Amino acid sequence: MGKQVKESLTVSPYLLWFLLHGTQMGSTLLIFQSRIIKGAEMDSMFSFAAVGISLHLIIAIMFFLLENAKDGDIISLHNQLFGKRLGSLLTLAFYGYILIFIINEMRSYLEVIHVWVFPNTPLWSLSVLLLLTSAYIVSGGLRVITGISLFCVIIPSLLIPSLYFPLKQGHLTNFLPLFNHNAYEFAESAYHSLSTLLGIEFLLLLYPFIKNQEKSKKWAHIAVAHSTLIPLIIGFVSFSFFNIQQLEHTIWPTLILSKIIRFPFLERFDYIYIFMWFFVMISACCVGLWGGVRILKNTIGMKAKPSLWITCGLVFVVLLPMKSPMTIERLDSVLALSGWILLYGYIPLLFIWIRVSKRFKKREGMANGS
Amino acid sequence: MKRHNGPVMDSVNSSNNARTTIAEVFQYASKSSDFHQFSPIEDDDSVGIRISYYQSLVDGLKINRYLVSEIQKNIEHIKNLQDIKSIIPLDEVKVTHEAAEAEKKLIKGYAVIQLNEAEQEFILVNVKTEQGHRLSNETENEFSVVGPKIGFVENIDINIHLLRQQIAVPELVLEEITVGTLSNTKVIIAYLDGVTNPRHVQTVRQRLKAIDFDVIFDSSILDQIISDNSNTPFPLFLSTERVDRVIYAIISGQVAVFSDNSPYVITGPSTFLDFFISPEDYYLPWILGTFFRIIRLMSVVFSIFATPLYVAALTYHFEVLPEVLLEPLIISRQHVPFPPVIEAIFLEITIELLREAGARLPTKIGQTLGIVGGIVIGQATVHAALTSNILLIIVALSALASFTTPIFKMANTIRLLRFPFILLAALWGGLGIFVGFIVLLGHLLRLKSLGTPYLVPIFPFRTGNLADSFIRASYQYVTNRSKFLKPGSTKRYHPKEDKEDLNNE
Repeated sequence: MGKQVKESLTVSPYLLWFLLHGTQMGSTLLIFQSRIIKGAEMDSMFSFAAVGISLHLIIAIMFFLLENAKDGDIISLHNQLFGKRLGSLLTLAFYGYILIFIINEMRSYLEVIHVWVFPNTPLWSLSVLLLLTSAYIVSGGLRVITGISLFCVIIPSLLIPSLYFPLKQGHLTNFLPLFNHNAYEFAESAYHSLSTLLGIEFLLLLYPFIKNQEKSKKWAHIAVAHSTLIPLIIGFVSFSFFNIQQLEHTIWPTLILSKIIRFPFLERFDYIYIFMWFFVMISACCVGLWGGVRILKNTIGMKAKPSLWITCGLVFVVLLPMKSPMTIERLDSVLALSGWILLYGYIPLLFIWIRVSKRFKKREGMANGS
Repeated sequence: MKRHNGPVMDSVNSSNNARTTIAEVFQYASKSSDFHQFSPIEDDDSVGIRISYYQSLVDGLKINRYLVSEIQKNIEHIKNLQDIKSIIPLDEVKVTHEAAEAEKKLIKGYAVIQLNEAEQEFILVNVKTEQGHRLSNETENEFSVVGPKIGFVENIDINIHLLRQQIAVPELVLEEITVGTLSNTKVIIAYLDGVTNPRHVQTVRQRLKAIDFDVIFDSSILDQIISDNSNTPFPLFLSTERVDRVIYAIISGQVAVFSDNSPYVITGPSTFLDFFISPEDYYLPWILGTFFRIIRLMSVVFSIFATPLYVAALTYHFEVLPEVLLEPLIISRQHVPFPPVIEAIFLEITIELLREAGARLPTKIGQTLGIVGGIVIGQATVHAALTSNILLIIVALSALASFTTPIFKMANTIRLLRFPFILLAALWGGLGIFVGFIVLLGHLLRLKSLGTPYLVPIFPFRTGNLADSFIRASYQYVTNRSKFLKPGSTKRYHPKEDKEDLNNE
């Protein structure tokens, strides 16, 4: 096909599952319940599932786009459609989006750390710690990132059985009555659902690094299904555990949920959750940083090491002044909006563009031929 | 690799090139006092026979009984070199006129026999002695209760003999390479033809041939020079003195490298899990073998994380511990004036000191030291309120746990890993430990041994190799070689499948 990078740099198709799933899951998973209830309240699970299902369509569209790109990624696609200059500009806009993605991921995790564990530690030292860790992993290349994603999916998955304890205290009647909201409220919940599921857009950069690209489609869809299922499980447990008024006043429902788990040697199980979420968020940060480096490398032509440090530096500089929890809220809404524009606006637009131009070319070719 | 030509090396090389005739070789060699030359036949006018050798390297018995006496007995028949060659009852006899070769062989324990000094042709006879080598080695450093106790020695010929004894097929191929500009050490690559992937053999061969080093003291030097990544505390090749381990590695499709003067043999490509396998796992029934292997892996985790968890919990996360557990901890620590990290580092260093001193001292004194160190110092520090009781227990247990790793090099690595984790725990508590774990994983994921990922079969995940990784399944199920080594044939043996059970009644 010629859309792959060197064979030795590629990873097996099944690893796309862990790469995409690891990128989608992030620190928003601690917080998403209280966001999606704005609108359809307890029925928001359905909106969430609907968004998850619609992502399968977006994934299919992305694969179509990538198959039509020269080098199999968004960078070459942009250059192909819009020319070198405008294409690079659009790719850099995507870079900006990636920066927001990483910053949102790190900042909301740092807020958890700040509030729950280290109220006195300065933010900058923690962000340096997180950035250095991710920079070290990213400097090892995509194979190392993939390995980290694999471990960062498997190890936190061990926490899923612990949801049994809050479920034991849950009230399934919380869900009743079902479907007592109107379409607008469902749509509002759906709007807030997307930021939990963001991350599939990195497929646009990862694609050339996947071996057997035809087979990888299956794994991408599995990843999306997996990523929809996990928040649905957590959401189900939290909705049966809390009632709607409690959820409205809870910032981190997942953590509050875990507080009731107790062992004879462990009083505060929520600490395990908090630290385990470091695994959940670091894989997303690493894939994000890697994507940023890749874009800088292929548009400006910068070397890998400096572009890694520049990306880390940019993230750090933007992270620092974000002190209040309100900015985190605002950051999330910016990310959600740009996610909607990117996934449900820009990508279908590109799809239509390519289809139309193809048909046009075909007709032109036929006209020339006859 | 860059060449480093020291002054010694230059002189050796240049003088080597200068000596083109055998007379010059002898002249140079006679500067040493142990170089001997003599004629076995006195007052003889027709043939002048002269034998030259380094006395310190040859077996005097061979010279006297075979060379001298045979030549004296058959002196009438000797007309030329071929005659001498036919009467010498030793196997390695060679007629040659290469002075450079003679010089090399002389220093390896050969004798040069000349007929009529002026002639350029001469005979090289192998009369080297096996002095200065022990003949047997008990595997004291990698002990196992069940199974063979014989280990490798410093003599490569005996080591090869031990290997050949157990793999009695011609497919076992040995390739010889000479390494070391001053030591000219004999290094042998051993592999199973048709099983070992030729790419691994080729990589080892290339890397060994590229070595420029003066004296190879031990195979561990080779290990470090040919390793894929030298900036890592992890051993990338397994090195062992056990014969059975090397044989197991070879039959699984790995390459073994023997080096003369070293009782340790290195095998590769090795994976992370290989280092926690003990031969005893295979000698015991699989249920026991599996149990002990899991205990060993858990002890590694315990040994790395126990002290950091203590430091993290007592520095930042008191609230994690339930009251019943917190109370004894606080009581045991109430008179300790230091923060937990100082306390932990102090005790860990004490244990390291004991271990290091125990390793340097003779065995008998070492035991006394263990008692003095372990009991007296431990009790005294607790009484003096320098450390808490509970930390003493944790540190002692984690030291104990780190001894369970069968390979010494890996055990050392695990000893070391604890310290960065303690520091991270002191700085960022539980978050620090998790960050350290991710960095450790990131490091392990980068490593490769002979081009094979170090963490295989965990990542890249390979199914079908798990029967002999975390567990040791029954011999019925471990019939295949690990696929990640890409062996020539994957089947090891075919077990019979007639069991007594409901199906076969």
